Amino acid sequence: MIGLKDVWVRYPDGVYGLRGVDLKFEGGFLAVLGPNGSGKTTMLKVMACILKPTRGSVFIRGVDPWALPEDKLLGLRRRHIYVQEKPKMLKGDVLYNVAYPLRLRGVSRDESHRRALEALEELRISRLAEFDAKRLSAGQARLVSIARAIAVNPEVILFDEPTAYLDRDNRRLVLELLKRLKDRGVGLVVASHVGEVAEIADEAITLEQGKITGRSRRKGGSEN
Amino acid sequence: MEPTYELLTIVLRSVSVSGLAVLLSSTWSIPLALRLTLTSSKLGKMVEDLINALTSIPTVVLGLLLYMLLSRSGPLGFLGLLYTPYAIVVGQAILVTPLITSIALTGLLKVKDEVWELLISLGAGRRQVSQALVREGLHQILSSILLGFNRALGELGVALTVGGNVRGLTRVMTTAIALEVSRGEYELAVSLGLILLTVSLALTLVVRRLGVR
Repeated sequence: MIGLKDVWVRYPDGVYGLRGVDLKFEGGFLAVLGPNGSGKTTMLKVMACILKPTRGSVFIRGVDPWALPEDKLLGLRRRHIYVQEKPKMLKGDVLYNVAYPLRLRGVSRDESHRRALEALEELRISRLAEFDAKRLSAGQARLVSIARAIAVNPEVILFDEPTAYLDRDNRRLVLELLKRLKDRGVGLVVASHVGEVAEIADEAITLEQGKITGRSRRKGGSEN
Repeated sequence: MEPTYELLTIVLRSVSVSGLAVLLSSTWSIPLALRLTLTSSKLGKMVEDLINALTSIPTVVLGLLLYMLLSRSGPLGFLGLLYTPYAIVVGQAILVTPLITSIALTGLLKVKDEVWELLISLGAGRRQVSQALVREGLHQILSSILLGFNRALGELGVALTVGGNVRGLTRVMTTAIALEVSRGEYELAVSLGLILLTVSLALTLVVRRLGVR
């Protein structure tokens, strides 16, 4: 589904985000582990086609997205959703924010609102629907950003630290949601610096200083 | 003409001429700012630098250039615009273009930093990104327009050079103040000065309220 071949990312300040990463993600649940600054966010952005690698290739369904014209690249991007580590909100209420990616995809206003409410309900935050999205707490914004992703029902969701800013109950809620999404067949790539995500993942990789230094399948099945 | 009536017509003329100039300028300044926000090319950067440099162009220099263009023997003399309110509108529209573009661009770049990645990750195309940036940066855009209006209302060089300060036709607040002071008639000059200052301060307060300093 998503392939990275010898991917290097060098930022304008000279810092390397990734150094020769090879990866094949064919669905299921992949946990990306590693300390802060190890390149997890960079890798997710490359996989989401938000960040173009400095060197190496990305393949989405066998196609290099960066070789495509803009409209085709957009089509590929819309199959995935990347949920930021620090959730950003647009002006307007929560319902507008959750319905927004659906509106971008041409879904009618009524239908997008219905699906947005469903997504909010799944995270037990439908009471926030009419709240000003810019005034949410960090934890609420985290949950709304997750609802915004699942409302679209994309092929793959790339979560960057989805349990950050959450209390224990909401962390459990999100982990349960991840399991449900996996059962529904949604591809999940979840970056986390804590191990609890790895416990429910099919596969985990560990990044250090932009390189994959470990791979494991299920619990404890280390390959490297 | 009664002094009060004359004062009123001068104020109304100033506001309408500068308002029209700013509206006209906004039709190209805002799209230009948006375009520059979305480009990362070297040419875009050069245009941005040029615009920033032009924000401080002396109004009399611009007035002189326009005078040479619009005078009867100039290349645009056949339009017959010199010493009409339209000449001031065109002149002020050109004058405030760098200011409006520069302020709107600064605001939009800030908004872009904030939401660009979000918009792309949610699947926004180029046009949708533009629409979202305008929506998110509406306060900054409005502020740039208001500051442009403030600049147009308070400038003297263009209005005097291409407007000619013709009584009942092109006399605006700044040219009237200059004339009255030169004649030693301070009463009208002070009244107009106070009105100009009040409008200017009120607009500045509105801009601050909109969140742009």
